[in-house]
This record gives sequence, C-alpha cells and structure tokens, in this order.
Amino acid sequence: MIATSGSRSFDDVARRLEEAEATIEALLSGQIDAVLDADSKSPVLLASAQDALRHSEERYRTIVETASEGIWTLDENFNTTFVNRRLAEMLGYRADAMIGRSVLDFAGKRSGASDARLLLQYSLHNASEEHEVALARNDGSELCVLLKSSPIRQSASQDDGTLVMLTDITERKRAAERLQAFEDRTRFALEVANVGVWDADFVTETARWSEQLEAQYGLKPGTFGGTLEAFISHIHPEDRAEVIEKIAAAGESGLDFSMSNRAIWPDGSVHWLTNQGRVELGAHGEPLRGTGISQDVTERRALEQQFQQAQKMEAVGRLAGGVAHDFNNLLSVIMGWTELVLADLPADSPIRDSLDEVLRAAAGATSLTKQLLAFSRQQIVKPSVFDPNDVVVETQKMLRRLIGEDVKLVTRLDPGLGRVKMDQGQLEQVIVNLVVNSRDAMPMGGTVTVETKNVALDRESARTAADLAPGDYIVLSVSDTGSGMSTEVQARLFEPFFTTKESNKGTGLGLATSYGIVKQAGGHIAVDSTQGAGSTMSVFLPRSMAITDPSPGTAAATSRGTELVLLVEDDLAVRRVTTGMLKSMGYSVISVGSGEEALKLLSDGLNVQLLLTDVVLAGGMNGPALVREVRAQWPRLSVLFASGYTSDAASLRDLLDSGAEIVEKPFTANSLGRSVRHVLDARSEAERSRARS
Amino acid sequence: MASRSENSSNLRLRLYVAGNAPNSLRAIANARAICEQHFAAAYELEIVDLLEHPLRALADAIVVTPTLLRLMPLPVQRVIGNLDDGTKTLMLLTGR
Repeated sequence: MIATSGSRSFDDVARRLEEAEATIEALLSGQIDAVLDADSKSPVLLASAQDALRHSEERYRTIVETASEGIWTLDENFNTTFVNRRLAEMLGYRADAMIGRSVLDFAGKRSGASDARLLLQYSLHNASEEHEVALARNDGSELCVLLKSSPIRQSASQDDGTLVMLTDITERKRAAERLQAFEDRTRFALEVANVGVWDADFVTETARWSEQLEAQYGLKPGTFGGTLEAFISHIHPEDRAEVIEKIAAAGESGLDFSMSNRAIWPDGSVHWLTNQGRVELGAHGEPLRGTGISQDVTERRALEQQFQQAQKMEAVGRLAGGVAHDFNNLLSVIMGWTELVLADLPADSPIRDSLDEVLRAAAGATSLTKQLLAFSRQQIVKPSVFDPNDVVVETQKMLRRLIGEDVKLVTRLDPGLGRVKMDQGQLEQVIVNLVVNSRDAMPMGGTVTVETKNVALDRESARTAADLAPGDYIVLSVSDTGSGMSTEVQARLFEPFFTTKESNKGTGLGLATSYGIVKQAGGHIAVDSTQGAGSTMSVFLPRSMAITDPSPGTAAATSRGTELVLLVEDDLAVRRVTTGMLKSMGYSVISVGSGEEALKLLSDGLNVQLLLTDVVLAGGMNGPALVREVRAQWPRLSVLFASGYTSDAASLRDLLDSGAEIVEKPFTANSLGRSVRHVLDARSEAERSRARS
Repeated sequence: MASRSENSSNLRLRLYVAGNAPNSLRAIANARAICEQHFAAAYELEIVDLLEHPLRALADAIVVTPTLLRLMPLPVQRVIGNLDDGTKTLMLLTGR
C-alpha cells in the first residue's frame, strides 16, 4: 500500500498514469499556469500566466510609482538599485541618475545633534526602527525625512539588499516649528503681560491653571489642586457665589463672560483679578469645557483710586486758589492798616502789643493760604540767594507751635553755612513738612533736631550716597528719635499719596511736594532710618556762590520814594490800604478800580512813573491785558503786578521777562516798598545805560 | 500550526503555485475554502511558489502548477489544476 517516490510498484505506476491524465486534462482545460522543466530545473510560465504576472507587476509598479512615500532599494553595499518617482522628486534628481550611487552620497550635514551620514548608516543597519534623517537635495538644500528600512530577502539564508521607505517631513517639521514658535510667542506674551490661563472640564470636574494664574493666587507652580472645587476654594469667599453664578449663566447661554473677583493669597493679602471666559456647550446644550484668562489688576485699581484722589485734590486746589485770592486781599487790608497804624504809634503805646498780635495772626493766615496754593501748584516761585540758616531761624517759632509741647526742637546751625538759590518760601515748606513728619513719628514725644552744615561731594560719594553731581552742597537734616521706618516704607516715602497715617490725618502729599521742590532746586533728599531707632532726612542743596539778596527788613531804608504811582485794584479795601502804604513811604498815588479807567487816565496825558496793578481784575480787562496795552503805547512805563497766586503764569511770563515784576499778596509795607523801589530803580538804571550808549 | 502538525490524523497539504498567475490564485482560494469547510478543526496548508523555490518543486516531483499535494494522511495524493471542481478535489483528498 505504501508507495515511495522511487518504487516501481504497480500502484505507483498507476498513480503516475492517473496524474499524467489529470495533468493533460488540466492543461487542456486551461487550468495550468507553469510547467517545471526537469532538465533546466527552471519553471516555464505559460502565456496566460505571463500576462497575469505582467499585470501584477504593473500593478505593483503603479503602486510604487504613485506612492506618496519615497521608495529606495539598495544592494548589499547600499548602492542604489531602484528609486521611485516620488523619491527622485524629493531629492531633485532624475531617477536613473541615482542608480548605482551610494545612499550615503545623499546624506545631509546634520540631523539634530547627530551627523546625518552616521545616522543614515545606523538606521540602515537597524531595520524597522524609524529615524528622522536629513538628506541633501540636488540643489544643496536639505530635506528632513522619516526613514524606515527593511532587508529584502530572496531566500532565508542571506539578505539581498535593503528596501527603504521615506516620508518627507520637511513641511511637517516646519509647520511644527512654526507652531512651536507661535506657542513660544504666545506663552511669552502671556508671561510678560502676566496673563493667567485656565481651563475646566465640567464633565470630569477637573481644571488646569497656568503658572501665571497660580502666581496670581499666590501659589507656587504646580500646587493648584486641579479640580473645580480647588478652583472655587481659592476665590475670595464673598466673591464665590457671583463667580459660580456667572459661569453657570455662561454655561446656559454659551456667551462669553467677564467678571472681577478677589483672590486671597496664602499670606492673607487680597488681590483683584479680572477674568474673561468662555464655556463650550455639548450637542444637547450641556456645558462641556470652559477656558479663560485672568489678569491681576490690583495695581491698576490702586492707580485708579490714586487718580481719583488726585482729581479730588486738584478740585480742592482749584477751590483753594479761588478762595485764596479773596483771602489774600482781606489779609492785605488787615496787615496793611495794622502796619500803618503801628508806624504812627509812639514806641511806648500800650496797644502796640495788641496790634503785634493782629500781625502775628495775619502772618499765620498768610502761611495757611500759601499752603493751600502749594496744593494747587499756583504758588509763585521766586528763586533768590539766601542763607538757609535764616529760614530755620525764622520758622523756628512756627515749628515749635506745630510740634507741640511733648516734642523738643533742637537746632544745630553751622555759622559758616553756604548760600543756596531757590524759592525761600519753598524751603520753608520743606522744613515744615519734614519737621511735621518727624513729630508724627513720635506720638509719645521726643526730640527733633534740625542741623545744617556744608558738604563737598566727590564723584564717588555723589553717585553712591545721594544721586547728585559732584560739588559743594549744604545739607539741612531733620532727625527724630521716633519709631523709624521699615525699608518698605522708605522705598515709597516720596510717592504721592503714600501715607502711613490714618486716611483723614495725612494727605500723603507733604513729602512728595518736598521731594519735588528739592529736586527742582537741583538737590536731593536722603533718608537714613532704622526701625525703632529714629530717622534722619537730609536735604542736599547745591551751594550758591552768588551774593546774598538783601534780606527783608534791611531794605526798609531804601524803599521810600516820591514818584507818581498809578494803582489799579478792584477791591476797594485793598486799594485804600495800598494807597495808604505807598503814601506813608512818600509816593504820590492815583488809584482806579479797573483797567479801562487806568487806560483813560494815561490817554489823557497823565504822566506816571509806575503802574501797579492786580493780576485779577473784575470787569473786561485783567492785569496782563492792561499791561500789554500800556506796553504798546507807553513802553517806558514801569510795571509791577500784585498777585496772591498765578493760575495763568504762562500768560504772564512774557511780561515778566520784559521787565515787569510781581509783588506777592498779601504784602507788607516792607515787601511792597522793596518791590516798588526795585522796579523803579531798574527802570532808571536801564534809562541811564540807554542814554550812555 | 505546530500543534496541528503533531497530530498524525491531521490533514497536511502543500500547494504549488506559480506566483500570482490566475489559476494559481484560484487554486489557493479553492484549497482554503475546501479546507475551512470540511477540515476546519485540523488541517495545515502550505503554499509554495514554484518561481521562488523551483528546487523544492523538483524534489516533490512537481511537473505543472497548480498542484495540490496531500502529504498526510498517507499515501501522498496529487490534485492537478485550479481545484474549481470541489467534489472531485474533496474525493481525492479523502480517498486512499
């Protein structure tokens, strides 16, 4: 029964015959594809099979040639045996020009950190791993491909070559780079603008926060809990209901929302945040996800409040300026008549003391209006050269009153102190502000020391100690024995509206104004303070080498004159007291109540030497307008303005530059006399020099 | 596959074909269908391409393709052609 292929048994022969018959039958019915030629040991394909084979080869070729991947076959030495059309396109060669060349000839320079040639070799030896490799195009440019190789096996025993599949990822990489660049830019913008980003998944009840957002809530990066519950828990308890309501409303409407809420930091501080957000709805209108941005607006809110405060102050200032004008007129009358009466009284008159008290009260009122005007920046700045010691001495009495009985005032004044050039009233203001500040630092009492000395700053100390140009300075320092200041307070000390006092006690403007005044004078205020050990504020002012201007009082002897003065003043009381003062100094006076009247008198040929006019006049023509008119027709006439403040200093400037002067209201007989004399003398000096030339 | 070949009662077949020639493809499809239908539990079908392995064909005394060899159970049986006649093929495969 069992037949082996070599036997010649009957069964075997019979089977061979049957097989032969079946073979012929199959051949005749066209069921045979190939015949094996036993002699040549090679198969012979029948025609129909050849067609089929060709068809299938064509099919494969079509697949290979239309593939969007590059296909590259290599022999065992990695020389090119075939490239498809796509690969030839990628590299910019004709396909046949690549045949026979080593694949390594087409390696680019670098692939990331690696040498492209080495990486290409490595990936050919490590089949089935994908690698990003740079290849060089015919034109020298590089392209980036994703490369995967696999050995081609004709028989089990040996590799006959390598099949390489390549995908061009240059565009993909470029797009990824662009995306990365866009992301980097966006992240940078969000970081720099300090914008926090959140997103929430309402289905899983999870949330993500960016590091900026965590920072806005005072959290360290990565410490936000990651749930909606944690999200809500970081919001100020009073704002939670509103936030939840807003997000819920947006979840129903699908509309963008914006809101403000407070965040409580772990250190207890409260920060204001604004949020813009959006809720994405599902197919049935249910909220799926939310995203939003958040910004810390604490500083902006503070600035807005400061701005409002500043506007309020400006309004107060304007009001003060208006009141001060009328007030100054009243003070002029009070002081003027008191002085005139005092001048006529015998030295031993019993009412002299009473009148001195009236003057003292009026002087106090004068400094009050000056302070009001300082707020509204309508104070007239009149730089002069003077000894700061004089100012300290003059203000001492007022300072003692200001600081009260529990605080001792000590002055240590350098008798050889240099002069400074600035507005004397402003220095007075600075001293008052600093001393008041010291007093407030010592609620239980203590000592305020005002000290003056000369200082020479060399290059080094000027730069490091005081932020000044090297040179000679005078230093006026105010020290207290009070509570001292923290470095935080010191850093903000001169900021406008920064105050450590209760909101109704300090304006926060005193030190800021002082700082501005000193800076304007080319100086600097240095602060030296240790918490619990008192503070010293040192005012550096550039030393002036000019000669001291005549100090008030010493000029009284030279303030007299006999010239004819035309006085224009709309306030009857002021007009009368001013007339009285001028007459007591020997001048002749014609006074009128309006600019129009003055012009008429001048046109009628009245010959006066000085026009003294108030800046603010009731009626059509104010002081400056009158003076311009007068200047045009009578250019040689001397002009003196009287003013308590100047809200329109710019309109006056050209007049002041061309020789007119201002006497500040309320004036005393002394200050008026000095100014009148000065203007008249300057004019006659100019006349004389014109006559000489 | 290995576990099936250990079982001596299993059907072991070897089909010689010529690449993707039409009768060869038909024979492959027919052989698979018959095996799945009648011997699904235990069979082994090896497909050998004459064009790739002419020497193996010579060793198996193959003259034309497609040729289906029944290697097990013995005796060896041969079915010539594209196996379109399923009944004849089945008879030859199950016969002695």
